[in-house]
Amino acid sequence: MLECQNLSHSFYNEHVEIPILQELQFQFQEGQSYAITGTSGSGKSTLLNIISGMLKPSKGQVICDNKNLYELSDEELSNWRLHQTGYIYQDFRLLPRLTAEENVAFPLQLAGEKLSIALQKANAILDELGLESRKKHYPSKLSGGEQQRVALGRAFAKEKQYIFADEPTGNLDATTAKKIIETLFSLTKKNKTTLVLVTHDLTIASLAQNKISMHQGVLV
Amino acid sequence: MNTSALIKYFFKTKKISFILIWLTIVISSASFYTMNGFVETLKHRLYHSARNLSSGDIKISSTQNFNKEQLEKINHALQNKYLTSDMLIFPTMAQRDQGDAFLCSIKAVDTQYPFYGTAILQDQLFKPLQANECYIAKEIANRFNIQPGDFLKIGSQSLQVKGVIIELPDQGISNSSAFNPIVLIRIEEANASGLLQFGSRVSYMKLYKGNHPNLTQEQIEKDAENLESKFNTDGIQVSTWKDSQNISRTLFGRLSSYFNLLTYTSVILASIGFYLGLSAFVLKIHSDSAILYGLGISKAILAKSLYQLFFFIITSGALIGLVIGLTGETYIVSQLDSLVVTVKQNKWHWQLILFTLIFCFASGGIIVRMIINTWLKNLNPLQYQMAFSPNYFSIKGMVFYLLFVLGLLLVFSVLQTGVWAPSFAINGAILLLLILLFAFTLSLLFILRLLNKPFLSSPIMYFANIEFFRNKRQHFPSLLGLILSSVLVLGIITSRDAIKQKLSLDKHSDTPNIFMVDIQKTQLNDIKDLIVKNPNTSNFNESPLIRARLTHINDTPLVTLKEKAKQNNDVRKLNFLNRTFNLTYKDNLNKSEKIVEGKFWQPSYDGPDISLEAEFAKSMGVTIGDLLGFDLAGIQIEGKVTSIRTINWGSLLPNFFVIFPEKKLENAPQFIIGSAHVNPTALSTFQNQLVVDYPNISVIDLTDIFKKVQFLFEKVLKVLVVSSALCIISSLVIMASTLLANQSDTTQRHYLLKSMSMNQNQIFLVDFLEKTFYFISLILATFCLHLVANYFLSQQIKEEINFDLYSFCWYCLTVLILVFAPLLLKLRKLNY
Repeated sequence: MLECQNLSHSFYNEHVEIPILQELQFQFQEGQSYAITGTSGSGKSTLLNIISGMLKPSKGQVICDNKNLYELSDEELSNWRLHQTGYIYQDFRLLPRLTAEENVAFPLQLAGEKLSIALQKANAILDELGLESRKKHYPSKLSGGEQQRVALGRAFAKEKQYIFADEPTGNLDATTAKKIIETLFSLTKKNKTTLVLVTHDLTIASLAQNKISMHQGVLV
Repeated sequence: MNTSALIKYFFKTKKISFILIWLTIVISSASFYTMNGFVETLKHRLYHSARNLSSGDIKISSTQNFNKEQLEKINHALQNKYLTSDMLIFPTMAQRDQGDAFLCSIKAVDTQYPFYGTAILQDQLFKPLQANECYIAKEIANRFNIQPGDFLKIGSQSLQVKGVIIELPDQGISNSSAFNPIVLIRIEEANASGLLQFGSRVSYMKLYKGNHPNLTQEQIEKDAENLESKFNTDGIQVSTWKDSQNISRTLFGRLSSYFNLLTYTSVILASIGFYLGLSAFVLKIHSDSAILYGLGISKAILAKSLYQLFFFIITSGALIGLVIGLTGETYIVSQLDSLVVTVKQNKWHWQLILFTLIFCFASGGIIVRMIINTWLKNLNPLQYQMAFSPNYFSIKGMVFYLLFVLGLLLVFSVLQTGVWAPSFAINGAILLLLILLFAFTLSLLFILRLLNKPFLSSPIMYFANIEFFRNKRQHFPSLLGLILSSVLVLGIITSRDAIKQKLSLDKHSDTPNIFMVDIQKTQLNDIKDLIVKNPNTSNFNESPLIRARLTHINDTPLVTLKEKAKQNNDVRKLNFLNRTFNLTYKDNLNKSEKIVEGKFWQPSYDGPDISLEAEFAKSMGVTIGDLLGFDLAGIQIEGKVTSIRTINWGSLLPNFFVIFPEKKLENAPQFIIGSAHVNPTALSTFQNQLVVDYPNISVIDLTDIFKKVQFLFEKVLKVLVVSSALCIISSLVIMASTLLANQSDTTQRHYLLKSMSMNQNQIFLVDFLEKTFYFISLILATFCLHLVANYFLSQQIKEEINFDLYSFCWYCLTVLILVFAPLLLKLRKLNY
């Protein structure tokens, strides 16, 4: 379980405090899917970055398996993210000088797999995602949908407890977006992973088991 | 639309990029002008002044005075179409009343001198000397405090100094003030001085100036050829001013090719820096430009503002570069003034200034247009982030640009030198060098990648490996630039050390520091006594010296050898063939000589053997078993080369290129050359006394000569340092441009890796490993190419150049700091 306790976060602009999140309390249960919705500037992405271990909150705690994430050392926190979480970005964020299969294999290598095994697993998941003929291609040669599928493959290559997705279909057309979302949900269901998805698309949000609405940094 | 607001915006926000680009233009312009300006000066001195240098249309020279028969032949051949002037040149000791004796070069002339050009005196106009008068070189006046009005003793003559020479028209490239300062006297005084003895080192010359309205250059050449054919066996040399020009052309060509090499390297490095700087600039302005384009500012307006901005940058850079170039050229000329007699007037090479500006605009303008047009074509308002796009450097584009720059340099080289072949040759050589550098660096990277394979099990190593070896477009241009400038700088350092070594004297306390020349055989025992009895002198060594002319090598007569050397433009060999040889005879080698091939004869051997010095043998193309023929004042002698030896010239013992056995030449006409050690504090006294007692003997102060040579060498080195400094600045600009271009890419990579759960230390390690691969590639490539360059340099300067570990370690340390400093200074912490 992933729990937010009294979570607050602010940015500072020339000593003026701009509150983004205010005293949030929430629990994300294992194996469930969550959609965080809200208007622009409501703090959705900030919340996602905090609970995924990427951004330290100004106040409050994020507890996972009885550990406050932000009391862990950089190494321990990185380790947690490497082994427990996968992240899918709106702009894909693939490493430009690695091919599709290398992009998927790289986190596995970081987690301790041998290169050959990592590539084997990467190939398997890319086949599953319909990218057999595109494995050796660099991201610059892939379409948006293909890149996002590679990103999905990277996130799901290893069994993870949590998958965080920040507007994963934001840069895609409707047809491709639909396919991506279907793949995302089927993979999380198959792996019994907790999915936390940020979206402003209510249709996508409706696919999740749980909906969290945010407005001006507060859960509504 | 007013583009000035846009220009101000770009300039304000991307200042550093502009400064880097501007610097490359400045360096390009400065290098182009500095080196070519000096070459222009040399060209004017050597090339356009050939007739002045030759002292006449036809010059006939001999080591003996012309006899009646020879004079008749000359007169018959030239048929009164020419004005005649006589000249003698010989070294001797001179002395002011109550002053120190010094070695000088006497130039004895008649009232016709000079036929061409103008002699320049200090504070007065040149006019023919009257009886018992002389002019002295500026160095004599300054060094020995001799002023007009003072008297100078030369042999038995006492001559009043009437003026100080600033420049003589036939002085040539070498400023003989550097070694034997000139004293100009009349021929009558030379004849009366008692110094023109048999065997002394006098050059007798007859100079001819065409005096007939219908006399064409072709006729002059024919007359000279006709004369030469009459004097084949007399040891008389005939040359025209064209011959002088051809030799000058070869010398000029060789000198200018060295300078061109430095110019080209500097310009190429600056061009690489320009290309990288421009590409980095485009990366930097992409986001802003995409947004502006999206807001409604057209591509045409964007292009117009950028072209205006770059026009300003190129113009200002080129002009500032010209000012620096002029300063650089003035500095070089001032440094080499002692060696090269330079043209004092007309320092502004207007044509070269124009060429420099055209070069900057052409090379800068075309690449600005090319890169900006290509970039604008692909500009898309929706893709304002280039961060995840392929990086913008195109190696093909850079290759095209360098070829274009080389093409421009070729055109300017042809316009400057007036000849195609050497210009093509140097451009071809540079192109070949660049291709080899490309190929070598690529191969090295490939090999390094293979060697890395066993270490790829670590994901950090694996990723760093990929980031470096697949990212050629970013690393390759800067690697090339740095390798090129490193090899150049290291080459200058190691050849400097080799030449310094060559110029260093043996340091023993009784190493000879004077040579005494023109000692008559009858004077030898007295001189030996003098040395032994004088408490300030020691270590006297003597050798007989026999003046001879080469007549043939094997079956090939001298005339044919000279023709072949002329055809092959082998100036070194031609000089050897034209000169009078100094032979000696002995049956034992001295401690500075070592046989490297063949066998030296036993004492009392009287066979026709010859021992040759190794470098001389190589220049002449002669080896063991070859026959050499000589004319010794009319006596023909031939010998077979049976041994080749090396000489340690630094020992300062009398050494000779050609040695015969003692019994073979002991009765030939000769004089003695001796070396001795004189206590430096007693040297002036010893010299002065010798001049009085033995006025025919000249004393050469070797320490003084060596000091002068070292002094000149240091000046040449300063010139090389100036040009290599330009190369170093270019390579630093290249590094800075690459860093700038990579900055955002690196930052994005950090964030990507962080989001993929790498921790700070792992991310730092990736950067560190990438830099390490870069460092290793650079050091290895530089090391290999440095060894190759050393080999070629040693062939050029005829001196072994050893690898200098100390310099190389310092170089490695400098590069280490340059490569890793940005990483250590900018340890990024990512936000939590």
